[in-house]
Amino acid sequence: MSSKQATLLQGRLDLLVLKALGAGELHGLGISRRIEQVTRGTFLVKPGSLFPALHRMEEAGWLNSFWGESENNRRAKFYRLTRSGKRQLSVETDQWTRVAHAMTNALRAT
Amino acid sequence: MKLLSRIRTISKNLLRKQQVERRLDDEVRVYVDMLTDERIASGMSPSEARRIAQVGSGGIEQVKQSVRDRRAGAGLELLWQDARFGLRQLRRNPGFTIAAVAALALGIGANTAIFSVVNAVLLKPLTYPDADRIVHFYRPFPEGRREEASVPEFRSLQQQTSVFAQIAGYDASGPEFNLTGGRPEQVHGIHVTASYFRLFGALAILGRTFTPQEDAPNGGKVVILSYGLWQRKFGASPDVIGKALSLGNEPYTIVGVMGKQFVSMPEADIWLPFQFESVSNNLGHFFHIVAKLQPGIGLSQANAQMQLAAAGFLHNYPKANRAQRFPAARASKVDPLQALRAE
Repeated sequence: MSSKQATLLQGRLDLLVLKALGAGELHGLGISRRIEQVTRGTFLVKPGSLFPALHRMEEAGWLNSFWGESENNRRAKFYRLTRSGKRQLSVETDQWTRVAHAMTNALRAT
Repeated sequence: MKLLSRIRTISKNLLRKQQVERRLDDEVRVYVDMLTDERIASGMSPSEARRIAQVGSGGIEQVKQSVRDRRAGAGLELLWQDARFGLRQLRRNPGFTIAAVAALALGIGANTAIFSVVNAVLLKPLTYPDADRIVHFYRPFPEGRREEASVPEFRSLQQQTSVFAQIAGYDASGPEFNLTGGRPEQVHGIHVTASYFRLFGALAILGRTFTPQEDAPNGGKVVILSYGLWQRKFGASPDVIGKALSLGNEPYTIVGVMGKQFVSMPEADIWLPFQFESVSNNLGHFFHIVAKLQPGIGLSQANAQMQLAAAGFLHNYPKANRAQRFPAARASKVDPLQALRAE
């Protein structure tokens, strides 16, 4: 599995976190697992990059957090999107789609 | 709003540091605990599961530090740590500290001393008699002061005899004249009212200063020479009085020569009578006013009196209020003449 893991492009972690939280609130490990699952194991987010990103995004007002019970009855910190986080998700999705299209076309060109 | 929430976040991070730290510690620990739970569920022994979870997370302390580095206000905290470190180092090396402080003290002290000397020697006090009683007129505006005055303002100040002993007008920019006849030369002249020389205690060494008649409109073409021009142009001849000085091909009668020590502000080679219409109601600002305070009258008293006079002035000249944005609360003021020179 590790052979097909890709390095996470700078700035794309934010988009993946926003996307993971788009479906609902999650705690830190939940976000990691969701990203792993939706990218089919391409991206494994380590806590060393996940937590700084979460805190930064919370300070930016895209996320807010609360303490709640996990599925295994552990007290964990959950994150959810704020209204401005939802806006950010759609903005970054658009941007990424444009970039991805452009790159694909560029690489296909002969 | 965004800025406000950012300030709130920074102050929370810096001021309620312990609480923020404890929360972060809980958060990262729970993450490792949950990772451990996953391993145990997949059949690993608890101690092995925990070890792998910790290694896989890259170390709790490292994770916490990377969050701290990204936090708002991290720069401020780093600065504070640097400052404390600096102080500790200074305390540890008293020899170095003494040398550094002494060097700074000497540097600052020497600069102050030199500036004091420069200030006293180059910006030396005005040499006029009772120079500390000579003030100049200005109008304060939000965007700065304006020193030009109008004839009605001149008259209004003239009436404040309780605070002003004398008052004189002059044009600060002064015209250049072509000295014709003989070797051509350009000379700098300023127009002054008859009261000007008396106010500055300046005496003519030959002839006299202007009479009020000469200062009135159509008072004739008369001129007073500076000591320098008299030396240069007339070879210090004692019989220049009554002779003509040709300025731009017009003859002006020389009525006086000023003493060597009198230097006007601004400096001039010749002085001409102002000859403005002293009863004019024209509110145009075109000249400067200096005044000499009555003995024993301070600046604040003079300005208080001018504040009172402003109401009367505006009553007589309601246009001034509108056209000049000159509300009574912003009455014109006077300032020591020395201050004008220091600028």
